[in-house]
Order: sequence, then C-alpha cells, then structure tokens
Amino acid sequence: MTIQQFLESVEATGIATWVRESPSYFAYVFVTSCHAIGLAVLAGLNTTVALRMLGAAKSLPLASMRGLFPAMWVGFWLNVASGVLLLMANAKGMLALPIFYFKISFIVLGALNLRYLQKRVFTNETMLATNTADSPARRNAWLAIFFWGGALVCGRLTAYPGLISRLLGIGS
Amino acid sequence: MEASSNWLASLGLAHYMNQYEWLWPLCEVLHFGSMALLVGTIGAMDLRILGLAKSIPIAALERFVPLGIAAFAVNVATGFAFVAGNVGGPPLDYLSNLSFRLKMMLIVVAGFNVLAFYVFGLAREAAAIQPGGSARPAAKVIAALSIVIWMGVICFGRLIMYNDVLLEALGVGGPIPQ
Repeated sequence: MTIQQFLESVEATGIATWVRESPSYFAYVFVTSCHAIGLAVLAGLNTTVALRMLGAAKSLPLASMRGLFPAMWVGFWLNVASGVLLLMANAKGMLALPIFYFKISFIVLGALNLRYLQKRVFTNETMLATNTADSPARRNAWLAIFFWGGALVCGRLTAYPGLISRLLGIGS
Repeated sequence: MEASSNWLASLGLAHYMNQYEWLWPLCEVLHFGSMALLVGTIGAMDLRILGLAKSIPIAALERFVPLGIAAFAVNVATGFAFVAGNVGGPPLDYLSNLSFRLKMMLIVVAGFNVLAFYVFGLAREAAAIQPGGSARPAAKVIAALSIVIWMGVICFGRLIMYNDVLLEALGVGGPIPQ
C-alpha cells in the first residue's frame, strides 16, 4: 500500500466522510469552530502569561498564574482532537501542502515550550519568590508568542495554497 | 440595508483586496490573533471569577482588560474590512447573512453583559476579592454568560461561510447540493 492509497483509505473512513460531507452542523462547521475556540484558549492564555513574564501587569503574582496552565492544556487537546478530524477529512490535500508541516512544527515546539514553562519555569522558587522572570525564562515567554503566532499564520495559510510561492516568485 | 451595502462598497476596499491577494489572509490572521488575545485577557478574568486559579488577585488580572479592548478594536477593524472589502460579491452578502447577523447581535449582547458587570457594582466588588476568595453568584453568572456568548460569537463567525448549514438546521433552507 502506497502512502497515497493509505491517505485515500483514511479519507474514505466513515468518520472522515461524515466530517467532510454531512450537512449536519455538528460535522465540519462544529469541528472547525472547536478548533478556533481551542486556539483562542491556548494561544490567548499562554500569551497573557508570557506578557506578564515580560513585564506587563507586575502587580499580578507570577505564582498565581500556575492555575491557568490546565485550561491551556484543555485548549491544546481540544485542538488535537478537532485537528485530527479535520486532517482525516482532507488528508491528501493537507499533507501535500508544505505550509502544513510548518504549522505542525510550530505546534510541537509550542507544546514543548508550554510544558517547559509549566514544569520548569513556573516551579522555579527564585522566580516565584522575586515575582520576576529572569532572562532565560523571558526567552521562553517570547518563544510562546512566536510559536503560537507561527502556528496561527501557517494554519490560516493552508487555506491559500501557493500564496507564499506566488508572493516569493518561486514556481510550483 | 441596500443603501448601507452601497455605501460600504463605495469605500473601494474590495479593489485593494483584489489587487493584493495577501491582504485578505493578513486580515484573517489579525482577526484570529486578536480573537485569541480577547479570550486570553477577558476570558482569563471570566475563568478566575468562576473559580479557576483562585490565587490570582482579580484586581491585578484586570490590568489586562485594556489589552482585551485593544484586541476587540482590531477585530472590529478587520471585520469591517471583510464586509466592506468583500471580493466575492457586495457587502450585502454579509449584511443579509443570518449567521453574520446573529454574530453581530451576540456581540451587542456581550456589550450589555459587560455593562451589567460594571453598572451593578459587580466589577468593584470583584476587584476587592482577595487571592483565594470567591466571587458572588451574580458575578459568576455574568462571567459564565461572557464565556458562552464569546464562544457563540466564534461559532457564528465560522458559520458565515457555511450559512446554508444553519438555514438547513433551522429548517428554512433548501436542500444543500452535494
């Protein structure tokens, strides 16, 4: 079985066909809405935490923000689930787009960075006691904004195949 | 509505949207990004009022509200660009779209919700809540409504391009051609 045949069989599964073709609200439109909500919760809350680390709203204790991480992971897993459904519905088309691999890379890096922030940075007693993020921690804050921003841009660009190639003047 | 559509079309934004093919996707990225910022700031307030991350002092979290308002302004500006600069047809296509209308109505409802939060003194009470403290039920209702309304705004926003799905679900549309 070639990769193309495998992807075709994924697209032909009942669930992928339903997401792609059902006129029900709960098929494509609901899944894509969940994807937008998950993105907002994950990228939005992570950006707020990052901005606090970078010096905004200094009266907000860094330690108190630890309670926001579980909500970010809810957003992340909501988007993994909805993203897998959307990918299954259009596996061949998506995986043929170079920009899709950039998007996935940004998401993997963003998730690893989020885990690092939660498990390493926000457990650092010095940072929590002084209520100030040091420069390595601030680097992770910038990376959070960069990775989620990159995932957002690349995700949107999957709806515009060939746009980047045309803008850069490289043939395809 | 016809007149509003003509006025919006007369602004000539569609010309630029057509001329620069990166302009529409750029506005979309800004629309999504500021949506995320709105959820990350105002939504964080809502979650805290509902009892998540209780060690956060609400008054300090409120410092992020101006950023949420700025993000909303970007949403309004880019949203205006989509309607006035609609490339596939006249702005009327948006103005007469049921999903779009419901989205706009929900945004107005969200405005009244915020107004209620401030007018009834709930905002002042919430700001006085110490770390670990709970907001009273009225504030929690407003916070829960805020989350539900903004999720509805996102859902109806996504529905604009699939308005037939909504009409079909409501039983007012024709059969969707396969």
